[in-house]
Amino acid sequence: MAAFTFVHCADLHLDAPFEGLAGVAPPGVREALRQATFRAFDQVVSLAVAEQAAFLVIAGDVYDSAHHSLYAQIRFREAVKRAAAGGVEVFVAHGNHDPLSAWEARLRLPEGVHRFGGEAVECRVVGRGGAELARVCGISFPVREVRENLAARFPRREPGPFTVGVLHANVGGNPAHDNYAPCSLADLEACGVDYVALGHVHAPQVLRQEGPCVVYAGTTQGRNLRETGPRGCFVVQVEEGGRLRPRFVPTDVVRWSLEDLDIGGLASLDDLLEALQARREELRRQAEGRGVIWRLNLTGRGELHDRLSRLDPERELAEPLREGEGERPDFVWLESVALDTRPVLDLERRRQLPDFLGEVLRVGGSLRSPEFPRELLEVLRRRGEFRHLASLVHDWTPPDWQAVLAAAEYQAVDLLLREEEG
Amino acid sequence: MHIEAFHIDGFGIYQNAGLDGLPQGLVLLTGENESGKTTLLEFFRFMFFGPERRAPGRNDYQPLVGQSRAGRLVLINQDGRRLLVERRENKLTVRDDNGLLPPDALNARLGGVDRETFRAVFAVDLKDLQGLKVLDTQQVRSLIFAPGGGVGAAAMPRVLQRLEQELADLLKPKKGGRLNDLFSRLEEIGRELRELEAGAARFAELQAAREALEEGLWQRKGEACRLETRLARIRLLAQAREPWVTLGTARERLEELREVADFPPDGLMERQRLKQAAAELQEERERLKEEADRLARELEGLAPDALLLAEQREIEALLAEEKRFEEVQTREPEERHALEQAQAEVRRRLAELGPEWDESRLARTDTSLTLRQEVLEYGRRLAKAERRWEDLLSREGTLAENVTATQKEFEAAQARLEATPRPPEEQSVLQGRRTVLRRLLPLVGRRELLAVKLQERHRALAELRARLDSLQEPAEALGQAIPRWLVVLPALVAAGVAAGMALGWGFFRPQGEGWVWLPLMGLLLLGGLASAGLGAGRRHLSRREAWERQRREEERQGLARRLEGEAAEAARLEEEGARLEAEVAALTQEAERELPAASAEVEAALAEVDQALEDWRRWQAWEQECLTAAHYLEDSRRRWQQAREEREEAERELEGLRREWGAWVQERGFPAAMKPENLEVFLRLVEAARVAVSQRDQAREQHRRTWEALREIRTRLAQVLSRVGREPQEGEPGPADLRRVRRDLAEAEKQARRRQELLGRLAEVQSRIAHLEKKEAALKEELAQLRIKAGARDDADFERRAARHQEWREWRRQYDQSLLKLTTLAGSETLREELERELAAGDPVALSREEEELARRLAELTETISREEREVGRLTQELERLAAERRLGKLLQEQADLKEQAARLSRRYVTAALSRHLIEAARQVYEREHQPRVIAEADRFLRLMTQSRYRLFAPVGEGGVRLEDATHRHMEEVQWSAGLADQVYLAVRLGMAREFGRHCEPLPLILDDVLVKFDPRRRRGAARVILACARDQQVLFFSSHPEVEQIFRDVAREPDFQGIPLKYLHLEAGRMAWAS
Repeated sequence: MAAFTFVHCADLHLDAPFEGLAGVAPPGVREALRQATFRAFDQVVSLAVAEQAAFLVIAGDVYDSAHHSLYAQIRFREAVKRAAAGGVEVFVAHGNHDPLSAWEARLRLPEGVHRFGGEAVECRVVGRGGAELARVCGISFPVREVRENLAARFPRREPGPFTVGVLHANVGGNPAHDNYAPCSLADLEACGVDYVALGHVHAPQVLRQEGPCVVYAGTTQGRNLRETGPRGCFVVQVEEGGRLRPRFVPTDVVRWSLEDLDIGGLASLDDLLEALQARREELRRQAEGRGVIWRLNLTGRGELHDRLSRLDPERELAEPLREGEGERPDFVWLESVALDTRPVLDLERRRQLPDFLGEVLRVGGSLRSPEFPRELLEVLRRRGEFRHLASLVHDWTPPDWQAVLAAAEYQAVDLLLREEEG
Repeated sequence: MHIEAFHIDGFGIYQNAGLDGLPQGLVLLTGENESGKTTLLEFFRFMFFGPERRAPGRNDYQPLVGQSRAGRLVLINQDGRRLLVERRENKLTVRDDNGLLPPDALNARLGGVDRETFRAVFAVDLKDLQGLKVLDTQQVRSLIFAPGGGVGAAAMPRVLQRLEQELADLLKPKKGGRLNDLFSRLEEIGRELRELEAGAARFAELQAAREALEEGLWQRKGEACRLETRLARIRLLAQAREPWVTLGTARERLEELREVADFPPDGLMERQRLKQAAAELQEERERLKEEADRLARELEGLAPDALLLAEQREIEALLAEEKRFEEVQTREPEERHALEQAQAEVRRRLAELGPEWDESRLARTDTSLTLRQEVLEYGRRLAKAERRWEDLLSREGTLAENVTATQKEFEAAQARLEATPRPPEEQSVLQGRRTVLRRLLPLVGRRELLAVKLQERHRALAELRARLDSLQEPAEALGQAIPRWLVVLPALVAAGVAAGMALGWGFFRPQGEGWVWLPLMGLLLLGGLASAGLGAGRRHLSRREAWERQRREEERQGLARRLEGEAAEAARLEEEGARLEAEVAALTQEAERELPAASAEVEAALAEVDQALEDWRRWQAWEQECLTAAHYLEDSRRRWQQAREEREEAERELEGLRREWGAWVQERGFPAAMKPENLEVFLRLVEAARVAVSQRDQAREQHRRTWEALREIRTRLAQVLSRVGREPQEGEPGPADLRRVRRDLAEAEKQARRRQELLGRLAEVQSRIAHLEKKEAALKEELAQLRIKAGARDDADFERRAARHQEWREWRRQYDQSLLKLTTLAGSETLREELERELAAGDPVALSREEEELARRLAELTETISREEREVGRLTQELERLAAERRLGKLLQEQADLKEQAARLSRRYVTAALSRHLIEAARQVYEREHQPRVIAEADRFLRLMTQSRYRLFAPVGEGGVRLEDATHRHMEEVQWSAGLADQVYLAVRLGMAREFGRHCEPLPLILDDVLVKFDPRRRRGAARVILACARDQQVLFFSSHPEVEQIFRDVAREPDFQGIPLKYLHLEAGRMAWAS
């Protein structure tokens, strides 16, 4: 068996919108973000060509069909055309965001680019010098919601060359993702392949090293503050003996960073700004020339809380740190500063005091009844205009409501104390 | 908990100060403004809660000495445990009898009371109290609740308002809120996205059309390409035909002219050039020969002066001194004249001194510094003695005038004393009487005040009895408003009517029709309900009557207790009045007067005694003035006599000194009558004469040196003139002779230089002529060689061969050009040969016809291709436009952004709405549960303060407090006077302090001058309240008014406040001392 290399990526989500840009960002940063998914996939293709990969597998969610983005499909065609021209065959399995039934512009894919069907698992042979190098098997989502275990459709192991299975699926019932094409590691083991190239989960992870090697490539470019840290694809080296060496390579062009900073040890606003500037430079260094979108949560208790609660965080904290960032390619753009700090105040102790503040906190405590958060909703429904927000708060979980109630308690106490101080 | 002791290491004006043994009850600290009361209050706040956050304009009480604020407290809990608290800035140390405790132990002992609560409830200063006065009704209410509710309640209305404003900004029922705007924009984006989706289907359709067109286009382009290739070949043959013909002709002519092919290139022109060069060389050689002749002739005419050139160095040395020569020749007569003038000055100076003076005496005369100092000393002593004598003379005159004035004053004072009579009654008797009257005056005043108080008590007793009588009247019998028979009457009437109707129905209607009984049942039911309603109303009225009776009974009992108290107070006042009457009688007797009816009589007697004492003081002042004038007269006479003696002694001293000076000046050869200042002038004249002699000697020496220099230069010049054969123009050689020699020398030098130049030029011209002759020979040789090379016999043959060679060159050029053109057209040498063969074989006419046919077909194809390409271009543009449509991405991005913003704002809205609910609900709970307890305490204090003139209460289910006067009339907040509002505020604050004390350790209460706006009556009432508080918890009361201390002393003696530990402390500029 000859040694070769292939590249595995997934969840490109080309031209899909980014979350977390509600803060005002300069045109340079916004444009960088709009192009980020395309540039990330371009880097995957360039990597495959540079590594002289035999083939490139894409495990679903190339774009979001629901968005009907023609631009995304054209850019995808151009990129895979470049891969084919560089001698890299491309295999695409569609996922829940771009199922075969969904809208597409019927663009003709170039020679050397193969798309798996949705009826049954298809296998294609990749050759080199007239000999079979590997087989790539896969199946696409025919429709958006596939609740069937597609892994079960893979044929049993047969003698033959190295085999790669391409699948968009939720392995192990990960609750953080839609449970499409659910399967288990045992199901994948029974597939009879040497490497399972998975898509659907956006964080890169190796679920199993061998027998078979099961890998989620993750998304090539993070698009929100839940997708922090490096994102990219896997370059897999297959040695002559069949031994696998998967290697993660970051391809993201903009990185997301969500950080908490405890104000407990900071004495003044100058100290805080100094700490933030140092952190910004550290993020820039870690991003290695990429842009960074940075959201900051100021947390903890401290004397600084009072000062922070009186200032406009956008104008007095974020803007000084954004100065000059919009013009540089390795920007660290502070998207927003959330103040989640607390005064130097022990609410539990305060709750015991027989004064008005204690009473406010006791009322807050009484709302945490066994039927929580029904009583909160009743309180809110008493305000007529709340009907506009009903759909927005509909999917809030009890922890969300707990957090809101705690914030309300702090806000009430804080406002009363501040107003009293004049 | 109470503070037993404290020590201040450094805090504001306090330095190393402290006290111990503070009682558990009341400590009254009095001191003037800036004595350190507020500093002490801040010190206790600092000790309990550490330093305040720094802020502009806030005093942080830095110590006057040292850097750190520090101190210690000894606290005693109710259970007797001691706690030692030490603080140095933020560093806190807490100990008890068992050792060190963690710092938060202090907070635990304070029962969780934080800094703000302590400031709002336990450590109250004047600023907090005065803040109420400027607030409107709502804020007054809030501040009243502030001490009751603790931190936060006072700010509640403003916070609710702010939250409501924020909620309205975020979301409104219809439109206008930030969230409303976001939702509108999201709807717009949704519409735009749906429109964009329709464009995608069009893309696929256009793409298919373009692909079909591109296929046909590809085929037509191939055919066009083939036609173009053939057409190009035919056109190439047509282009190549003309050079191909020329090439053939050229080959033939070149063969014919082969014999002159080797003729030297441009041989004819070369020969012409060589001949021209030889002619030019010959012409140049002739011109140089003429120049050499001219130079030789000029050399013969030049002859420079050799004698002058030989003396050139000496002449140049003299010329270097030319300026000096002219200068000394000019200066010598001037210096001679100056010498003569100096001689005349010496003679004039000697004449000034006198005829007996000459230069030898001038040299002998002593004008030394010592002599002149002696003269000056004599002058100074004589001037001093004269001045002293003049001063003493003047003083003697002034004292004589003073004696006269003092004599007159003495006589006037003696006359005033004799005119004033001595008072008849002795002064000690009058002073004793005044003392008795002063003791009598306050007793009579207090007797009057007691009478007024007694009258007020009797009036209050009458009001209470009237109110008691009104309560003893039976309450309105509400329960009897509905008699019992009225309750049962509707039921009985309904039953009767129903029975009657039943009988009627049973008689007239057939059996079996059950429905007819329904109205009867309804009538019975109505009657029953009416009776039940009347019964319930009667029971309700009875309950109200019972409740009202109970309330009246409670109030009656309360009034009875107050009546007893008032009666006891009236009896006490009467007893005190009798005691005062006895004291007044005793003092009246002592003052030997009748018993005064009012304090005005005592004040009149006191004024009379004061007037008599004033007469005594005036007589004693006149007597003293007369004695003083006599003493002054005696003293002025003594001083006049003393001044006269001193003046006579000064006169004697002056005369002696003048005699001594006369002897001294004579001894040194000067006139005896000469004064010291004149002698000094004479000595200066001697000095001037000596200077004139010295200046004359200097002028003489200068003139001698100038004359010698002039003579030396003239000698040297005469020698030079002699050697070069020239005579001086005048008798003595001068600068003019020197200038003439210089001109002659310059002319000789010029001629020498010109001769040298001519010799050099002549040698150069002769060398050039030789060189030209060599070049002429070389040219002739070259011409001979050229003819040999051309193979010509002579010049005519040379020219004929040159013409044939020119013709050969022209044909050769045409041959090369044609060959190049054909090769270029063919593309290579091989293809050219093929092209030549094709041209030789081709028929030009047939090719022309083929070209026309191909061009026609190609034009048709090109037209078709162009049209289809335009169509493909149009489709491509349309597809690119659709493909490049980025609006979708932007809209999706904007949609995501807006959704995120909406989520954030929703969270903010929900948080604010819940905050508002928490505060609102807390207010309701507080008012329902807490206020009554706080307000009940406050009411107790307010009654004590106002002697039950007002009652404070909090209606259940309603916000705020209500105030009621003695006649049960409600007083709205706007009706409160400033003083009453302050009393209410203080009472509520103390009520809250008691409320806290119920939940945790009662903390010390520190009040800083809070009674400053109270009138005396209210102060006394407040003092009772504060003492009542001090019974249960320690009170530190600061005041800058001494009368407050007196009020507390008086109140503490009242029976109700006996036994309360009480101490007085005086403060002064950072020092503390216990008062007696």
